[in-house]
Amino acid sequence: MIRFRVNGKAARAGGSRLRRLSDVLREDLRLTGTKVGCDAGDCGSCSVLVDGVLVNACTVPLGRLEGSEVTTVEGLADGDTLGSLQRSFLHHGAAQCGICTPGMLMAASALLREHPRPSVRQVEDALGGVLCRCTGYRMIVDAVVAASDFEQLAADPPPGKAVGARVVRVDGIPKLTGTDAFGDDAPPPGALLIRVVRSPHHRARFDIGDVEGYVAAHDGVIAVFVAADVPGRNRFGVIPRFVDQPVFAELETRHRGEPVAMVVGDPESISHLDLDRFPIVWHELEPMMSPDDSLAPGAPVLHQGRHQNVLVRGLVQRGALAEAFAGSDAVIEASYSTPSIEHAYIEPEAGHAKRIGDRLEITVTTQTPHLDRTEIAAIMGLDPEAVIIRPSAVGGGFGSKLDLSVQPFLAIAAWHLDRTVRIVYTRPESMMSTTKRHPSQISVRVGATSDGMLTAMEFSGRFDTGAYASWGPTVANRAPVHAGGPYSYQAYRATTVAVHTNQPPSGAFRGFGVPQSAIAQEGIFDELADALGEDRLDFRIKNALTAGRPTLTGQVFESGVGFKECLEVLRPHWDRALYQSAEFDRSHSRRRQGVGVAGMWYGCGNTGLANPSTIKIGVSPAARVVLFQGAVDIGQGANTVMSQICADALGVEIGVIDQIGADTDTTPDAGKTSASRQTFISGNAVFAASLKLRSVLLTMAQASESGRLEFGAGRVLVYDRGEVVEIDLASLDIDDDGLVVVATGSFDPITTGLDENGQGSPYAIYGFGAQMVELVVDLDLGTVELLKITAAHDVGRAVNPTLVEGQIHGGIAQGIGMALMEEYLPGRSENLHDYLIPTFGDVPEIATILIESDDPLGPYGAKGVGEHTLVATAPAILNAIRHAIGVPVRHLPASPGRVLEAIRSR
Amino acid sequence: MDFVRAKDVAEAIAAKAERPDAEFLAGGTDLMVAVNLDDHRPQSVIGLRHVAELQQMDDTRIGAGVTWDRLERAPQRALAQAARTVGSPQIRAAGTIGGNVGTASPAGDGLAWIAALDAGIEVASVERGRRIVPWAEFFVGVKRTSLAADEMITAVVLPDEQIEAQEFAKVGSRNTMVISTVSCVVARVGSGYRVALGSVAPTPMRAFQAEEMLNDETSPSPAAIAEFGRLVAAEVRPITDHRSTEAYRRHAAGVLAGRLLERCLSS
Repeated sequence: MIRFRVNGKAARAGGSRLRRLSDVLREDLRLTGTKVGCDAGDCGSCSVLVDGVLVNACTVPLGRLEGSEVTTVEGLADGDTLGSLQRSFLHHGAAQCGICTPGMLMAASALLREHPRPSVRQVEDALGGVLCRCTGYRMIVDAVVAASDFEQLAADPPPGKAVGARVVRVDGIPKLTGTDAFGDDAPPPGALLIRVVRSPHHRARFDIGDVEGYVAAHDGVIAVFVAADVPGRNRFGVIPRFVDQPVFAELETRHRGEPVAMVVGDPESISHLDLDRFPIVWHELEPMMSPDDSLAPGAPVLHQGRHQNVLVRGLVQRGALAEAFAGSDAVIEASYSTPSIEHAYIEPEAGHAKRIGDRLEITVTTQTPHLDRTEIAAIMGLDPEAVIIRPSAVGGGFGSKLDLSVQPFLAIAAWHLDRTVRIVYTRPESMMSTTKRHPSQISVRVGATSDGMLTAMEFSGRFDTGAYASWGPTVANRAPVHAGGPYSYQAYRATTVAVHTNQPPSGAFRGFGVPQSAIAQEGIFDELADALGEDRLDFRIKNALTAGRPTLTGQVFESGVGFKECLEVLRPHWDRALYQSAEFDRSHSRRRQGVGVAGMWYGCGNTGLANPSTIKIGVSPAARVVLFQGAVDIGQGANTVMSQICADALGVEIGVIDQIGADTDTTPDAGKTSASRQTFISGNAVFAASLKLRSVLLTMAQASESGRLEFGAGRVLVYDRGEVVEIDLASLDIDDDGLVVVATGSFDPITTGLDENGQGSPYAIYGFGAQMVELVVDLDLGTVELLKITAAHDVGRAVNPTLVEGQIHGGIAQGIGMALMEEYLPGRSENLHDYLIPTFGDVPEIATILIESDDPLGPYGAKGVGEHTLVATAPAILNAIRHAIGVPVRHLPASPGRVLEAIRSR
Repeated sequence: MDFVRAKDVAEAIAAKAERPDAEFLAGGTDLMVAVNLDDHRPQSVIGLRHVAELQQMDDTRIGAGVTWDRLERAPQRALAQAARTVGSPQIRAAGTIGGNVGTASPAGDGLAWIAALDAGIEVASVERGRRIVPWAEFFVGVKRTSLAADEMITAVVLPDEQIEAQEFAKVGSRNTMVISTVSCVVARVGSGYRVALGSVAPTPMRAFQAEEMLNDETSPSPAAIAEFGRLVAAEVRPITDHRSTEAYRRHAAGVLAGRLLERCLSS
């Protein structure tokens, strides 16, 4: 037994002296505020203080702790009473999903002991060992710099003033105290552990050996399950026509990391079981690692019926292309490519499950509980009603947690064994087996007349969709709708193809193919503008899509098109930056300062498909508003946004609202947290439900439409025309949910499918944006130093400006990673030191400018913003690099090696 | 697994003599990761954190257990510069220079400095007592050293010579927690200039031809500095991997060497 102290209290733990402190804290002491993101010292989310020194708890062995004092996030707050650092985090929007927050807080508290008023640089250095994938770091820096002097959080806005206010995250406190329960934070005691046996090869056939003998020979192993043990359909997917991914491979594995079996057992016995000794014989097959391989004549077909490994093709075309090119004074064409990119949320996939009679209850980190329910029901051969999906707190998703990961394993093991079970992926497991951003190969040709007006664009994109369909069809359809950007052409033609390979499945990742397309389109725009002698910003302004002009699919918006404003508002920044870059270049010989700009648009919601959301709101006998919030908050802030909309629509203070869900047994289906749809679509459903509830309550009080509701002290008062009526809640019947009044609201935006030319109205609204990047390139080393990013986004209406800015910062950080460093290579970069994501040192100052075009369809005029914020960043960086060095980098990432190669090609 | 907590070097090497397979554990930044991810399942471990001797440092030797956060304030300028680029504050608080030497990764941030200074690695065993192995004989391949199964690393031993100037720099693909694609140290000592590099060969290396060329110059001209960079680039033996290419590493090695030389010249 090793004896030590944790947060001032005596603690002890036994077992191997090489057990990691993070494991001891979480498993033995149930202090799950210390998070685990990698177990390799790369992410810092397990940062704690040992004897006052900041360490990664995953690399501290238990044997070292004798007599030590350990401080964890649980030691920072007094219950729910936050310290000034935590309040500053809440105020500054420094916690989004919250998975990195405990590590950030521990690093910050170590710094603040030494330097109560730290500089920005000191904060960046001291917190530099903790990775965050949501915030883009700048708000964390602001929070720590201001922490020592931070007084009190602002009071909630008065009734009717919540929308537009910088309301602090309503679910923020648990993220700052370490009590928010993520996927692996609250497994039931005694749960069995699941470990998954995976293919070490990109493509292989296999024979599983003596499983019974294996179980018998290993103490603590209770069962092994393989494909034959899947009770229902051994296939899952996210689009009904493209359900093709097996829970366990049957004959052939199609990507490295694909599951073939799982081992279930007592956690202590199997957590370090050597799965390389699982009885299986592999027969490695020649893999197809790119579309060039899988489209080659004679290439094996990975999925029956998908000729030449083509999953789907996409097409959008309008106008007479040949004529428009013929009438151009300048035509430029080029090819671009982008690599596989990993989501790298800090929370690995995790969850737990139990069987309750003939039902299954699964708690899991997910962006889409209802879709999970449908798929698990099919896999288990159960009715959907027999499956309950309870989302845990989600430590980042960005699209990948739209697909099933651990859910089928939990379901199958819990069902067959009738025991509670748990699973958490290791970082390598998470990286090798979950979806990626589609690698792309894009050719683009664009023309313009000598007066700088665009004529035509032709776009051809080949997307590597990996081993299974996942969201490949969505990418292939969304990309051509967006690939010309928010600009007007005489003619446009975009074709896409999604091709299977033996890469991990490509799926949804913040933008569904639009970021890749924008790199090509915005990149070639700069080349065309230069060829025409046009200022690059002017060129975009001249050609910008405006209200009343058709989009690439022929849709015409009469309002809510704020793109031109986004560009125009950058004008003074652009002029200043160009001047400064010229000045810089005059005084430096081996370094060049560059400025780049890129525009973007993004349709909110599914592409030309039904897209409904339903929200239920009730009143409890204690006079609390209960919001059944099915729009999963993965850090973006849906819980807060929905509360703000609900409060204003009801005309009450935000503080009277409680939230329930998301949970498939309790909350109606609000649809997926994807496609930047929740604020727009579920926000409208909240708005509708709130108005209905308000109307019901006013009617009960026989008040007019102008009546005012007041909730508090166990009663609802209605003020109207100088009178006050109390609604007698005690006299009302209580329903199964414990509510006395209930209303539901639904919203489904009106869209149309695309016709054979890809024409139609695929989205009810688009968001727009433009970002400007200033950077310096070292001409001898090819290294890029970002100086500043200025981002203007048309968000319709900012329901919560702090949350919107948080989305902008976070999207920019991911865009920086995409532009400069990220490339996923199966078998090579399956951890967070070989796969690099931006750190504190990589995200520069960000200035945000919110354009509020007041969309006629959005709740209070609001549009979605989640994915929009990433799209323009990488192209703006690449355009700034080209401005600095005079030649384009068209293949990502623009690593020092690639940039140097471009410089030397001049 | 059995665990021996050594109080001094004698205990540590006695334990190692009995258990040639044992792993030494100091900061844990390498060993714990391998254990956590099941890449390595050591049968026995010898803990070194309580060996006071390993924590000591002075002008002539740096104990193997000295952590990077202490080396950030080391009087040797290039070593301090290198220390500041090691991992993160958490890694620097735990990781030691002895661990860097023992792991012998081509990207080890402290190794180019050891090569530049012509430092030796002091090792100890029950059988042979203490001996100092010249760095060039200690590092024999990628993550391979000449350390015998019964030996432990006790110190980095510095030659008794005045270092007049020393500079470190590295290049990587991001700005914090970055594994180097190239690292370089240039030092000026009484006998002339030295240039050492990391991540461009299986082991840390010196570019001796570049040194020789430079040491023939009394006061290096811009042309000589450029030639120095060219020779360094010609002499390194990098590979292409997922972090960078052979061509980039070669080029960047020359650029860094030239820049660091200029800094040494102006100091």
